[in-house]
Amino acid sequence: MRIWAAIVGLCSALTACAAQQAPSTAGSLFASPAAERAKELAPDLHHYAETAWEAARQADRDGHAKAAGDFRTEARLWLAAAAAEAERVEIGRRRVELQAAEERWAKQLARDQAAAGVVAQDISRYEARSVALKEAERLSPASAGGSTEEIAAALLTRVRLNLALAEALGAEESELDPLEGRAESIEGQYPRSAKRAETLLLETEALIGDMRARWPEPLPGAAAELIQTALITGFSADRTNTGVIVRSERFFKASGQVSSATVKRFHGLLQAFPHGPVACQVAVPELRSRVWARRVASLVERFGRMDDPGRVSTGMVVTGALGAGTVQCTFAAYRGP
Amino acid sequence: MDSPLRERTAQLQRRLIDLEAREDARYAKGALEQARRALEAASSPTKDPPSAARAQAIADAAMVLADRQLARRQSQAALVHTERRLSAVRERAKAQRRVLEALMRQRAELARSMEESP
Repeated sequence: MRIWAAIVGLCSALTACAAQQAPSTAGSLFASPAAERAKELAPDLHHYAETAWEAARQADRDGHAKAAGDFRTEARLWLAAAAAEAERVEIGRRRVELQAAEERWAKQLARDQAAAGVVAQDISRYEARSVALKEAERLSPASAGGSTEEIAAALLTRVRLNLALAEALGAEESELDPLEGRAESIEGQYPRSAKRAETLLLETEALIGDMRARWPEPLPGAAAELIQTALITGFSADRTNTGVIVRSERFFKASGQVSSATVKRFHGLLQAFPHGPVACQVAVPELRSRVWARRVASLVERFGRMDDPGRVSTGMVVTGALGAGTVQCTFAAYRGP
Repeated sequence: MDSPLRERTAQLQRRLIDLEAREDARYAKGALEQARRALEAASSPTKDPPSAARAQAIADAAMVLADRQLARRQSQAALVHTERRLSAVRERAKAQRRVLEALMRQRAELARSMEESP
């Protein structure tokens, strides 16, 4: 930086001098460190300066003072140009160094992001093992397993994991901070609200979905993550060669009404795994059943309210393998490992 | 002024017009002003050919100076941009490293607790 400052000083001085025609010796003009640097980094321009300076000396010797003055002005301008060029070269070199450093940090970031994704997945697996049953039970309206406090605590753990995973996948602070703030707010409450925690959980899953959506197709391991997330959120899930199948018998209540809670959780799953079409089939006792036709129409209408209604197609299937009202949905893009 | 000198002055004037038309021309104001004055002198009918040629050489050098000053300024802007980008990616990488370390600690704790549980 000191050399640059010296060069900048030289440039200013030279430009000013050039206009004033002040006499100067070649020694003082060409002997400064900045001029030496200019000679090294801009030899062509420096050479023009020396040539003009020599012409000025010759004109002096010939007694042509006006010509000598013109040549000196020209020499100073060339030397100032050489100094500016030398500085430009120095800046360019510094920039190349910074770009190399940037590349090193970017590589470390990418490695750590990938590693964090793997570790977060491991944690999800451990967490899933310990809380899956409790979670699935909790999410069923018919059951009443665990206290609200325990449920909220389990949900907040998953919120934190999701936030860590979202950060690992590249979420910005501006996206993470409000969610973290809300998690802390719920944490600080007594008793903690499981409902608020669940709403927050769905939002963190939507954020992860946004991160995943930035990739043109599911990342390796996404199918396993989909199965895990589906299991944790109370669905059944299997991998087949057509994709991941997510299944639930709880889309319809006993009364035949669509279960808002299940649709909400399914919506969260769709947001968290944003790639490709999802084909749903509702198991019905017979295709001509008006009752089931109404129920399925109602479910289709609920799916139609989602962000991307065209993504989910819904049909009816008569099968003895599944109980009436069971809905199974194939996430066709999740065929990888 | 003879024809080659006139042609050279016209050529230098076109170069000066191009330089002055640049959006960032104000950052080489001094050098451009000097080039303009030298060209005025070069095209003066009272100038003898050697003086006109020297004025042209001054204009040429002043325009090269202006050009290099503008190039230097562009490099400086690019450097600042790179510095900002580096700073952002470095901060992000450090934050990511902290997240990874926290996650690894959490995984180790969970693994331990799973082993300890019946």
